[in-house]
Amino acid sequence: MKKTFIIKADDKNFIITSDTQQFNISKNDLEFKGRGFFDKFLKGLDVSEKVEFIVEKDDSIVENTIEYRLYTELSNLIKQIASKINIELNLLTEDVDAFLNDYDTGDLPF
Amino acid sequence: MNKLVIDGMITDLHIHSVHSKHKDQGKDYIKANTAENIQVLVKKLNDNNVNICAISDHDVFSFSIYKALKNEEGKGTIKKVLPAVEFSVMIKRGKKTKPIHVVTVFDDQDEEKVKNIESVLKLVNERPQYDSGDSFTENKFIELLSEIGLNTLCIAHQKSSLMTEDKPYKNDVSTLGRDTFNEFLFAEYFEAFEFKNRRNEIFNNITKSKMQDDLLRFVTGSDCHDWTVYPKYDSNEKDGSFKFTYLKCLPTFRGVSLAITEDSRISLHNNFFNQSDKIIDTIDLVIDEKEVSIPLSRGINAIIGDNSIGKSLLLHKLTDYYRGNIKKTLSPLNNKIVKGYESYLSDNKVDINTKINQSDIFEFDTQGEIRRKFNLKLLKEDDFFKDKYPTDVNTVEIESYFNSKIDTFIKMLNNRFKNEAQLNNIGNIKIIDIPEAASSLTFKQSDFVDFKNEKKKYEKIINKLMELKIKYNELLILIENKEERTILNNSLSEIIKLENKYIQFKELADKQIKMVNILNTVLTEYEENYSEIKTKQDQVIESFLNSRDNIAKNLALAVKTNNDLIEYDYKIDEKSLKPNTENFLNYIFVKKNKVTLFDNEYFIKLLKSPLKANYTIDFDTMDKAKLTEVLKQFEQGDPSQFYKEKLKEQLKDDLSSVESIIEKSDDTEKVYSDGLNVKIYFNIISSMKNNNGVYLIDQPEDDVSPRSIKEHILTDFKRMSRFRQVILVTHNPQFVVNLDVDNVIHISKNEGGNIIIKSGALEYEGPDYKILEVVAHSLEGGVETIRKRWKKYEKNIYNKS
Repeated sequence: MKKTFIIKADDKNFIITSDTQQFNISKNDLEFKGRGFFDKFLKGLDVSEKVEFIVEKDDSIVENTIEYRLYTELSNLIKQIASKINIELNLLTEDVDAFLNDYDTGDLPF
Repeated sequence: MNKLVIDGMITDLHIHSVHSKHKDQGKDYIKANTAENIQVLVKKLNDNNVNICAISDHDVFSFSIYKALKNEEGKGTIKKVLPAVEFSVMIKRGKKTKPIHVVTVFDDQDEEKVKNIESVLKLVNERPQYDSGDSFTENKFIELLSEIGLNTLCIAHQKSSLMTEDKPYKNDVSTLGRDTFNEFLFAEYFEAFEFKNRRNEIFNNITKSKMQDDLLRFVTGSDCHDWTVYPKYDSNEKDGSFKFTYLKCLPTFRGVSLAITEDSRISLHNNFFNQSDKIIDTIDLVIDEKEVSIPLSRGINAIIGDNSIGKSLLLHKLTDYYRGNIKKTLSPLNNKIVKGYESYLSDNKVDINTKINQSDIFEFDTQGEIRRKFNLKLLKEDDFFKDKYPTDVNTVEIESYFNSKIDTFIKMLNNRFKNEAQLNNIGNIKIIDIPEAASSLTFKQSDFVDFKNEKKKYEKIINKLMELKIKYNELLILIENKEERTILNNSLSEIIKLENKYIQFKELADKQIKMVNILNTVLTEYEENYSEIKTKQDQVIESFLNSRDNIAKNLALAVKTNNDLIEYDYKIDEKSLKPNTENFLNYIFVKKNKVTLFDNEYFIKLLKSPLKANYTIDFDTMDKAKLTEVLKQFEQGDPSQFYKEKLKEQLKDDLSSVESIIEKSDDTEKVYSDGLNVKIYFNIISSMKNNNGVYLIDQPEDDVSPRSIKEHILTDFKRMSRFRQVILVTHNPQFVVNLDVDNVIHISKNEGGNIIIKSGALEYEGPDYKILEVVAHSLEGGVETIRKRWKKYEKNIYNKS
């Protein structure tokens, strides 16, 4: 299941949107409130298949700025959440098979 | 004279002589029924084996003809001749006035008074001194009886069946109507009713069976008017099927009195006593070097006497301290008691030589033993009750269904609690600015606990499926029907498919665990290599990445626990449990469950059962804190586990089997009580005709009400006495007098302290003692019981005490 997050920034906040939902992170303290994120985007998430979170920015975030680096960290966090969901909900069957096949042949993915 | 009744006495108290001619004009043959021709009657009486008889002429008494027959007493079959008169009594009740005939039998002991009957009833102008047409008024009848001054027995004429109310026979009591008949019946105005036609027998039995108590007692009387054709009425009578009445009594007036007032002593068949070979004829003792032999009846023998006189001892010695097979689990008669008994016998110079073979003992219930049998639930193993109860109701399906509902319900709660906890545990993270040049030197081991849990779950499922396979294979061994086997085989193959699927899942979980192990090994190795070159910035970044990993994992777990939330379906497939029943005699032995209907209402009640009352519970929103607060008796630990255990305990209790007994007569379910137990016990053992042997019981009156004794237990003992010998010890006069025991054995000590034994039938009157007097004076309440039993005659004797 693919889910796209758009991150933008205004004067006060980083704003994460997905579908019709919106989640703010104040630029003052950069506090990412886990429960708030869950309520907005993860409650009722379809986990019948492997989860894939696509994170994009809009033009309000300019490359090579602090905002951009913070966007990158948010993006990493969101993608890591997807990765953890897939592990916790055992949605990585095909990946596991592929890994073990590679391992058996000695061709490690590192 | 015999002390005991050995056999039924063939009895006919209604024979006419020539002296009835004033009433039976036109019947010339009656004129030949004279004292001179008494041998005609005697031969007929002997030919018919009559033992007790009476000439009962219409409203007149001839001492000479009575005496002519009386002289035959003790000869041939005739054992007792009693004086009697058939009175015509005009009974007036309301608007009805009808003459009825009453055969009145008198005590023969005082010959002068017997002689006087003739004077009291002397004829004037060859006609009795009637005061109401061809009859005496009721008052005159009572006056005449008073003037005669003898104990009497009154047997009312009721030739036709009571079921033919529309066409009563002339001079029958029933001509006065049902109300008057009932009045006579309930007031026991008459001792019995006489019928003749054999066809009435079955109707009489039907009428009797509808009545409480044994108020309606029928005897037959030949009403013979022509001795040459005895027992026919006369030569015109076509019905030659007259049946004599057998009375279980000694051939005395008192014996007849007792017999005729007790239905179990009256029969048209000589079937009073069992013919079992497993009886004892006598109890042989040596008392102070004198041999004493107490004759025993084949019926009921009651041992009475003062406390501690040796009554129970006698039973134990007769049975050689036998305690029966089932009593292994009861406390045996302890040595102290046995020693006590033996020293009592020695001190009193008594040897009891009679022993009953163990194989001849049907059962020996010592004092209080029936109650113990029930309390210790020994009767379930007892031959008496083993097969009376049905099997337990099969609750497997319902138990499994509700256990599954409970498991799912608790799982739902647990998932909710986990989700709550996980949501509260997600936490926050402060996003930091990591310079692009920085590279993470942080390594994080993966957690594979859940893979292990998955694997465990799959293993459980595989095990359950394997168990199912075994069950199906067991069924396949039992079931032979081809179609049914096909159904089973199809299901079995589906189970095998499922099993294979889960085996694959398990193998996958194994692979996942293996993968994580490899990753962790590699990461550990890398971390160790780089730990020495970390900078301060590295440490900040490492801390951030760890926090990010944690919050990501927490969010993932929250997604998982959220995904695991179950929408619980409270709806129940309604099920009910029908009781299992077994019929036995008048009882239905029932096994049913405490709860029999399992519907939505039951399920909600079950869910609330471990919770405190007065709390409003909403299962859809109840959180862990609320559950902890409302659970009864919960102190510590996992509240949902506690809740689950309590629910399952309650379910088990609701499904537990309850035994009850329904008496068919009243359809009320009765739970065991000692009184009911004893009642049922006697009812059942009194029906066990096939198990031969003597029944011994010490104080059957224990744990049972006087009413139950009167209404049920005496009947059971009477029935039992027809097919086995009974020896009982009692202090209760009902078990002697109302039971009409066949033999009373009274043990006492004389003034010199020597053991004295008196015995005989209730009516026995020997030179030294009269048994009824012995009973009256030795049993508490004996006088009163005898008075009630004795009804209207001879009561003055027992009013003395």
